[in-house]
Amino acid sequence: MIEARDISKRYGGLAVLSDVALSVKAGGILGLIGPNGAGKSTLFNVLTGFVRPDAGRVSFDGRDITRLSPESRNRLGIARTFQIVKPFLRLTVLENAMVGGFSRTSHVAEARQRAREALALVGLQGRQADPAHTLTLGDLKRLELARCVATGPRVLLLDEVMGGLNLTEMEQMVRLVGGLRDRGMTIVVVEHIMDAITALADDLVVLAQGRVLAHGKPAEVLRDPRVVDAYLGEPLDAAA
Amino acid sequence: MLVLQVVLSGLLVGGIYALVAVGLNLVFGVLRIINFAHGDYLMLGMYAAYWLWRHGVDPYVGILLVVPALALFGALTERFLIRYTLAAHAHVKIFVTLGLSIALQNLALLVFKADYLSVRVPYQTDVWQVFGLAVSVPRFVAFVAMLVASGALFLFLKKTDFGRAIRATAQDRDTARLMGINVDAVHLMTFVIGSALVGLAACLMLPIYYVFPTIGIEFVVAAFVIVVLGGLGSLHGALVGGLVIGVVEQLSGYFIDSTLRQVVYFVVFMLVLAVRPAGLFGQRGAEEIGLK
Amino acid sequence: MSLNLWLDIAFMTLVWAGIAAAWNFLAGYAGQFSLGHAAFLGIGAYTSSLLLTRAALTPWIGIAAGAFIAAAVAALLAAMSLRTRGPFFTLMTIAFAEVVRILSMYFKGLTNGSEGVIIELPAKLSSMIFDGKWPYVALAALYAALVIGLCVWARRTKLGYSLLSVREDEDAARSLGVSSYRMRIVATAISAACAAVGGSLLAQYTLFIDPDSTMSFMLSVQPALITIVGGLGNAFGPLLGAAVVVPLGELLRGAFGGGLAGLHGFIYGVALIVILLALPDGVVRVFLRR
Repeated sequence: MIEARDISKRYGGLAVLSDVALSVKAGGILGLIGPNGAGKSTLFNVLTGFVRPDAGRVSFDGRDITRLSPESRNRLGIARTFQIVKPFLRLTVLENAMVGGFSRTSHVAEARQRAREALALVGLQGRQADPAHTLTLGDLKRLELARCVATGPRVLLLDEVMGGLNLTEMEQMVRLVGGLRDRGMTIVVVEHIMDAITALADDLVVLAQGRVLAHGKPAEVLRDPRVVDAYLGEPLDAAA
Repeated sequence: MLVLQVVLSGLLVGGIYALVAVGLNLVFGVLRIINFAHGDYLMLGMYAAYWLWRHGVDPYVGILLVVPALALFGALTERFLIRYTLAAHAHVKIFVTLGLSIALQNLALLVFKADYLSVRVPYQTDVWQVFGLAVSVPRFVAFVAMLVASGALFLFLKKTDFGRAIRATAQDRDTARLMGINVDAVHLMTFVIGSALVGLAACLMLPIYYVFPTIGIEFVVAAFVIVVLGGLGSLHGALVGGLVIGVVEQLSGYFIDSTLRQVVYFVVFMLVLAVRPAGLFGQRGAEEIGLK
Repeated sequence: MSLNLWLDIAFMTLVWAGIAAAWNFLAGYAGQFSLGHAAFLGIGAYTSSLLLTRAALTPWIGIAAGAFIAAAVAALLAAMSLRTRGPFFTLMTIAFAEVVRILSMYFKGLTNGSEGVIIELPAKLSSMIFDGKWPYVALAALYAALVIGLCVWARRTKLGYSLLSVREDEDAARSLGVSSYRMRIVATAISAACAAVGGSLLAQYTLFIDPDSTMSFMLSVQPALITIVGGLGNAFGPLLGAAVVVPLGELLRGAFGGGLAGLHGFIYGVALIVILLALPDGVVRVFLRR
């Protein structure tokens, strides 16, 4: 679905991404892991249109989208969440989701319907009328997810969606994301929390120092000595 | 040759603009607010210096009184007004200093009336002939003072502890606070320094310009153009920008209709904002810092 | 105080409520604070007045022409300002308004420069000139109602949601398919067009326009002050604000007018500061419990 090839990006003298290639297949969850500073967020931003790569090509269903704006990419079917949540604070929960709902339609009623469905999916329908600034972090993360879902995406990119959540919230989120995958959504997840990623990912890509270190099934990747060296410290049992 | 003369005049005028711009830039870099009233502080300083002159004090001597007075005024406004806007919504920051500006201008109008006032000092019209070019003495003095003041400021920021604290706060207020820097004191000092610089400029300008309630606007507009052109938080950007603007202004006054002279630098201003909002020397994206 | 004075105040209050509502559309909904709206007032006023006095075109059409031109110019301004944020946008609008004002003085052939344009025509419906003040007040009321109505309606549409989302968080908005650049341009154009209509109405009332009285900086501050006093982002804030600021302004002018030049402005400035620090959400907060 999404193909990235030869992606390179420099900031000043620092090569943040070097010849990164990524392939997101339809259906299933692709996990993107790596130590801090590996370039995961930058890669995310390149895939979603917030950063232009110095070199390389991103394509969606065969179509070159390297130069396309974030909003155009969303209309093609790519949605993303942010590492640090970005709610529309002064709007209500429903209104937040409706902004997503409007991505595919100009009709208020239709947008509201999509928003309501998305909110029901993440379990926030009870808080529709609450202003977003009254929500907890866990709820805000769910809201951000709902907003994305309301845009009717074909591919969902989640940027450290577990960050800042307690164990219960994390379990809920894992179930939520897994449920989306089961409904046929393609998902790319950037994550630090190993338990979450091993529970979710069908495929794994490991990024270190701006390069792809390994990619493949979680079981193999997590036992790869290079990955253990660069990231894990000790071998992780991926049979979760 | 005439063009050379115009360029020289431009440099000298630019020196004064730079002095005003440096203060504005410093305040913006550290407090992240655009002080719309900056030019009106200049106006107040000029009126103060004028009043002193009426009582027998030469404007250059008046520096010793006006600079501390304006520094004090700056401290008071920072403490009792600006401080409360720092954590407020974006529109509050803009409109509070705007309100201050309007209030000060009209206060001056009330007290001093709209008359154009001017001092008369012996060196006012003195001109030195240097390599066939005329150099106006008061403008030259202002230029030199600007160099000295900027140099002093530069050393202060670079070498002293407090100067470093100011630079740290300008880069990242929250981290500075976490490192134990008294950010409130930094804000206060920055504003005081900015106001003091403007007080200096006021005394230097009095032998050259008329003073009237809205004179602040003319200089603050140039100062804004310079700040944007030279780059946010960049001291040498403000200096170079000031000189450039001075020259551009004089050249356009020479080649184009004087009414259009102002249009030239407004258009330059708009173009810079459109294409490179961080300014010529500013870091890319600097225009976003502190606005979130 | 005579009826005529009351009608005069009513007219001014309603027209400024409309102009402030236009400003509020850009500021409260899109989060862009303009201090250059006087330029749009001027474009509206000059377009309709020049078309009336030079081409004998009825202002009923002339006003639309003015709104159209203002929208086009505003779109251009917005397109240039796409990379500016917060106070830099404000600076951009200030520069823009000054350029417009200076150019209108410079192109004397077109605008009569600082001598201004006088509308010396007999009262006629087709010239939108009336003998009594009632028709003007009615027009102003219609104007204010239309602009405020537009704000109320827009809030519930895709346009409104898109604008608000860009105001709250531009990156998030873009990630959800909102074209923030297009939104900025549209919002600025709509705001300018509505303001221009107000400018034309003022011209039809005072029957005299010139760059200084029609496009001064204080006229750019006025809609901002009114909206801030009334309540930013609330569709009725401008109406409330105008009801407070305009009559007060007239009162002050009447009481101190000639003698103490500057007192009026001084109070304006102080009022702005006080309101911002004491009632940052405006008077409307007192009425709504949100």
